[in-house]
Amino acid sequence: MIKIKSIRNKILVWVFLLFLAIWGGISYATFYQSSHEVEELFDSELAQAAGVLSQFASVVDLSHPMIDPKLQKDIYGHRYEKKIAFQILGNNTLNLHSANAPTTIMSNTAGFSDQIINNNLWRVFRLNVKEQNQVIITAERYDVRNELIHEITKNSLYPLTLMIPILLFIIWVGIDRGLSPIRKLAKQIRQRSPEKLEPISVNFEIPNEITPLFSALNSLFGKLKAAFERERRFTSDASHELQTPLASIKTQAQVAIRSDNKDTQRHALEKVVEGIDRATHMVQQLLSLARLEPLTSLDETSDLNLYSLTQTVISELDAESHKKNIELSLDGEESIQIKGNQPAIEILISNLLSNAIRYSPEQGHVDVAIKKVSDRVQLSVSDSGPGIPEQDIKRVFERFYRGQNCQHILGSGLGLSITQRIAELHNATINLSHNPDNGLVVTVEFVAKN
Amino acid sequence: MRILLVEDDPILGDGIKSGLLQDHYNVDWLTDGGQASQALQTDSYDLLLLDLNLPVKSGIDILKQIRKTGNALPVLILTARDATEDRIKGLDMGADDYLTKPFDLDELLARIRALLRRSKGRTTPTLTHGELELNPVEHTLSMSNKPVDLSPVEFQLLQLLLENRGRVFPKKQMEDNIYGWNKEVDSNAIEVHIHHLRKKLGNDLIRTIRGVGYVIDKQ
Repeated sequence: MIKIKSIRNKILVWVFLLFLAIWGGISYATFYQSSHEVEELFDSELAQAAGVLSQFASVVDLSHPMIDPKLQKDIYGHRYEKKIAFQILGNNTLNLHSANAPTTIMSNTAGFSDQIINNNLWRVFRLNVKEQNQVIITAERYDVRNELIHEITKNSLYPLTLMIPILLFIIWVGIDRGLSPIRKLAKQIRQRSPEKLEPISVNFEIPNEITPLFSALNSLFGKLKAAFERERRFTSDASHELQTPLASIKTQAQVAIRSDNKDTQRHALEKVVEGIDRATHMVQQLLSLARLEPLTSLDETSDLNLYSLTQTVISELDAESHKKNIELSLDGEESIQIKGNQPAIEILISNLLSNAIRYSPEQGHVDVAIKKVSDRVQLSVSDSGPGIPEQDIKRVFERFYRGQNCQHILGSGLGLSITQRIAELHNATINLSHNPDNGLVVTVEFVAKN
Repeated sequence: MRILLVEDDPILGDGIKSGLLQDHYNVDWLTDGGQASQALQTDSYDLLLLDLNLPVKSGIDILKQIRKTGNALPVLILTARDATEDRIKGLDMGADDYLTKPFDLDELLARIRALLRRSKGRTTPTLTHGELELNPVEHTLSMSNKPVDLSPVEFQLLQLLLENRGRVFPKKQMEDNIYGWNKEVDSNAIEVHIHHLRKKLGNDLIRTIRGVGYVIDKQ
């Protein structure tokens, strides 16, 4: 089976096959009809000729042949006529016959019959005129008749046959015109690029058949544009967030080089180290986000004990909290399990806890609680920091967004974006609220493992 | 020379401030646009070093505010975004120059000197007054081609008066200009430094206007 890729060619092939079928049907019908009619017509002519001949024979003495057979050629008036033969018999003897008729009696049956004479098939009509003991036989060769039938059939099929290519051509043009909106649409789409993704607008009417394609494409362009815009903003923000620590490191290093004062040098070098720590943190967060962002689902999940995971993370962050004399507490059911990806859940807990430690003042406290509420598992981290002002609360999950009141605290602005991404991948929700001391409470709600 | 630095990044701000102090500028460092806008209204500066991406009030808004009041204060913008449109916007809003982070500290200081020079209507880097020749880049002073040793504060005082020849400076304004509002200053500190300058350069150079301040007359 040959695969036809073009819609136009496919339609043309089908139309052509349809025409062929119609053409065949008409040809057959014409042939059948005309052969039947021609038979009838010719049969009646044979009978008529026999009648004329019998009238003629009744008034003429036929004991001698009256027409010179040689003369017969000259009086032929029609090209179909020459093969019509006749015999006139009196008392069973052949009195008269045409030149193309044989000398033997062509038929012994009255009326119409088919006879093979000299290897040719003849249509024969025998008229017995009993009162005069006379027999008139008229006959005609079948090939003459067939020739005529073929001629009629051929002539009637000529126009139809000629019509086929003309019709196919008209259909070809028609399809071509019908498909032109697709070509125009393709031209419009070709002009699109990642930099230029506005919806397609056309100055022609869109056929119903491609309207769904058209609107699907436009909605795709819309989504792509938004995605590109997001990526562009991310790259620009990331470059800003990386260039600033680099600028600070470079400036501090140059201050150290230019100075002869030990204290100034020491101060500048400490700032260099701080700047490098910050850049490192930023790069790590960017990498985490870059790994998590493209995922649509988690490939490796297992049953995790949320309580013991939190314990591990707390012990890792102990040094950080100890530095600020922050009291860390964990409270909850030790048996609670969730289904999730272990490294991702560890990052989530670690981000929430280190945020809480960073934003809490010295001597503050951070309380972690894990509990089961019907079929959900809640992990909440409550700190003694300044909380998040109302106007910032909606924006804290945006990448690189940092609250107005915490610019002095080290951070990438990515922690909550990463946390939210991890939560999304676990079908968990994050909720922000404040505790009575105005500190922030972050609650992550997971689906419980049955 | 008193410079206002507005930079929200703690390490970078600290670094630029240290660099400026090394070149004996008097620096006030603020970390948000709101404070900066306030300071620009109440204090006078010789130059503004402005980050564009600031909390509370953006650098562009601060620029607009300065230029709307007809203030010709030289402004150098610092921007991390290498997007040309940001720089064009900054320059169109009235900034005099820009630097893209990360920048070279020496380049920043050179640009600051050039901007200050231009704002004082000079095209050559040195200030000359009779036999005196003051080089702000090398921090040197010579009298009759012989070097004179000055303390950083003395140097700044002399530069301030030389750049504003014919203008009488009140003592308070000189204090602000040299020390900013970060340090506690002895009430007679300026007088002491003027006294030292007179000892080194002669009594005729700096004239006292009683009850007002000091001036170096135009020649």
